[in-house]
Amino acid sequence: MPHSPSCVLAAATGPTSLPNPTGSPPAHGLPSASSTSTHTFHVPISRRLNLASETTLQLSEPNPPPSTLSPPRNEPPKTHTMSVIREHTSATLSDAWRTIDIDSLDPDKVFDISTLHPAIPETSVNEVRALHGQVRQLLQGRDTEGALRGCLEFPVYNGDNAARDAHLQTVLEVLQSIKASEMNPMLVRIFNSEGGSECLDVLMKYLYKGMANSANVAPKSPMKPMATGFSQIGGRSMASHDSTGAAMSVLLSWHEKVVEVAGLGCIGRVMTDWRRV
Amino acid sequence: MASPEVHHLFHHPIADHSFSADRKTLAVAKDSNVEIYGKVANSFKLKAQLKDHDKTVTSVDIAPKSGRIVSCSQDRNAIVWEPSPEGYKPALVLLRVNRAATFVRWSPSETKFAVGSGDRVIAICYFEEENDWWVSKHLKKPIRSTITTVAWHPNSVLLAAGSADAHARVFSSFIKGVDSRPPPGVWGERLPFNTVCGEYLNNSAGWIHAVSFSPSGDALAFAAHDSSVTVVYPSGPDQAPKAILAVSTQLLPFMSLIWSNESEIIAAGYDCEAFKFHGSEAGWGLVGTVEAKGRPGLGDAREESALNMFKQMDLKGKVKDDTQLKTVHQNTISTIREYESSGGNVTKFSSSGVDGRVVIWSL
Amino acid sequence: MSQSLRPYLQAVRSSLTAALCLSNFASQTAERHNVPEIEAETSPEVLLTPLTIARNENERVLIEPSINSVRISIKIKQADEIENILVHKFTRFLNQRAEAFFILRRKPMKVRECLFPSVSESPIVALAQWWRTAGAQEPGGEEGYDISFLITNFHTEEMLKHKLVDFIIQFMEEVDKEISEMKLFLNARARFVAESFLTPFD
Repeated sequence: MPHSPSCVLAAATGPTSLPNPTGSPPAHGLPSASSTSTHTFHVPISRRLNLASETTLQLSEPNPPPSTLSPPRNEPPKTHTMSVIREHTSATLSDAWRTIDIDSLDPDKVFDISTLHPAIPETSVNEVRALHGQVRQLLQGRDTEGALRGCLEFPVYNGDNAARDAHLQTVLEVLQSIKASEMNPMLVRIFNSEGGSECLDVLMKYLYKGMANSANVAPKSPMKPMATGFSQIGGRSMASHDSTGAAMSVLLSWHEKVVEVAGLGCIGRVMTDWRRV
Repeated sequence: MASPEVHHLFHHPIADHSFSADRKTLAVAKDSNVEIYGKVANSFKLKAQLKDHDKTVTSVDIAPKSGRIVSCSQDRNAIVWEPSPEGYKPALVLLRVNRAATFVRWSPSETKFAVGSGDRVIAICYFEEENDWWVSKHLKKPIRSTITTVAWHPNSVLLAAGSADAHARVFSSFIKGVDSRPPPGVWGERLPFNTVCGEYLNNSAGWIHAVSFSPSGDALAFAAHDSSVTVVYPSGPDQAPKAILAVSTQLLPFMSLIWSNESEIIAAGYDCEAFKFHGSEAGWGLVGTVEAKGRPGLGDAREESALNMFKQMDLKGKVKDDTQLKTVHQNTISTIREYESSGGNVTKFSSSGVDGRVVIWSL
Repeated sequence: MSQSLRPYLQAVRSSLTAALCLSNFASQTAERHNVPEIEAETSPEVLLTPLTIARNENERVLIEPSINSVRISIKIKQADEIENILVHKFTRFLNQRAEAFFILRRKPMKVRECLFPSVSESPIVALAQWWRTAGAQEPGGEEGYDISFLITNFHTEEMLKHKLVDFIIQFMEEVDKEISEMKLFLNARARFVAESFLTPFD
């Protein structure tokens, strides 16, 4: 996080209304800051802005242009340390500080959630396509179990949307090509094999993703209210409705079978896992 | 296997329970109070209510030797209750945390206790004679979220903590003047305060619900929200652990776990019953439930008169009564603790749950 | 129960059972507060991956789990405009009586709202916005869900978990029945009215 112990605080105070008790010349030579003085106060990372203590703040212009604060200028922004109490006038003592989210200034409190986990190597669309080709071959060779395992062992955890969607399509294709009577024995075989529990977790992730996607890509059925009132939703093709319905019923029956084999823990792991597909 | 001893105390969640060393006194955390129950014949009767907290009490622990009770609550405080002839005398602990206190445990030496908090710190509290006050030192780094659970190593210096950021960590809580220097072990040799001796993350992650050191202290087990139990065998300071064995189960997550001996773990949680895990450094696996299904007594309680059955069918239009679970606990088990042990083996353990029951199980 | 409805409800049941593993969790952001984390959305690490269960593009359930609360949003089947209006009226009726249902959320989730949570909205504004987005004439109503539930750890402590799940499932079964029944009644009345109106012209 970029927060240093002394945080720059762009408080929304009137820039020119700051008194200048030290008597330093107001102009720094920086053209944009010529009419104001840039005061530096150091905010201790405390829970409250404690006005009674010798706190110091850095006040700059509201929304300072980047040039004002960028260090590699010839003349660094002039800073002077002073007590807040002396600094405050009725103009600067606004209620603005009350709305400052102090927690967001605390590097211990605000962090990028992704830093909690180790990074995952990225998968490109091309790799997904190559895998798709191999899975296709397995499917043509009637090795549905191998195809299913193949695409579950290489989930796309880190990749752009194209790669993710392409892999989802691969998985869905395999799932649709497996007969209902084969599902259960195949899942049991996979579950009992090495790393099988993880495979079914991945499968579960793709089942949920498949269902979520269907909702997103659902064709917008524009409602055309007719002058007479009760109309069918205009132009809705029953064909598309039926096809998503059929695709969903495949996913739903897989869902049921996976829960039978891998239990509710499997659903729990879909929720907790940070490696989303 | 003897049938479990069930004490249905009230219809309210029990956040935590703790027995005194003689197993005659039971402290439970109920709502914003700590309730003390005394054993009368074969049941527990309410003896005292400790009412100084003003928010949900999250955890309670009785020190076996001194009998002191420590409790902590979402009101950000921890209180040490000193037993005296007139009752329990509260002493507020200087925790210096700004969020809920979530979990508290006495160290085996009873000179310290650790309080986990939502302020992303663990307060290690010890008694300062000159001020006559329990003061605390904070374990801070690298905790990123609420501490959900803590557990002590037998040497009273190492502390395991689980947090909502999905990591289980082992810290040193060595405090000069309170602790004696521990002998070097698998977790490290020199252990100044806040040394991170280990930091573990599960693959499918999920916040940690429970941590526990094995009886020897040379292995650590933790249960996470991904329904898994993970056992870590460290190999020495600054080295990768010898083995990290994760058991992903088909069950719902576990809330609490204990080691019954070096090769057996008991875990219980959202499935409302306790499960046994067995294993060693070579591998761990789920053995099965502790509860004997279809045990005698269960049927009698659920048998209904014909009149009742027809009444149910008439009033509610249902054929079978499914308001009762088949398990002893009727809701999530929140804590399990050792109750009785012999020769390094836990022979009985106690569990408490959201359903207001405390149950003593024999293994 | 129709053949395709059963696996759908079964999937919702198992997902809900897995999601309803809640514990008492005090806020990390506001001291001495205990709020449903899924609504506050202040600590990303205690929110879990949301799950969607879909039967087709018109019927789906969104389950958003967190450490101490689960939000369940249901999109009820609306095949035509009459059903659309009926669903809207029906869910509005329920929403206005939300306190009697304990776990019912006053306002159903919209897709937009998932991105920008507006917790502090006044009920009037919220209602107005909800009215606007859920309005039958508004295509935006298509995007969101028709009714939402919020289950917190306090609910799972007081009530049996499997009964809560049963309630949601039963609601989903009943609401479809209810809507098609209402539609039949409406059609019957419309026919009757039409017949009486048109009799003089016979």
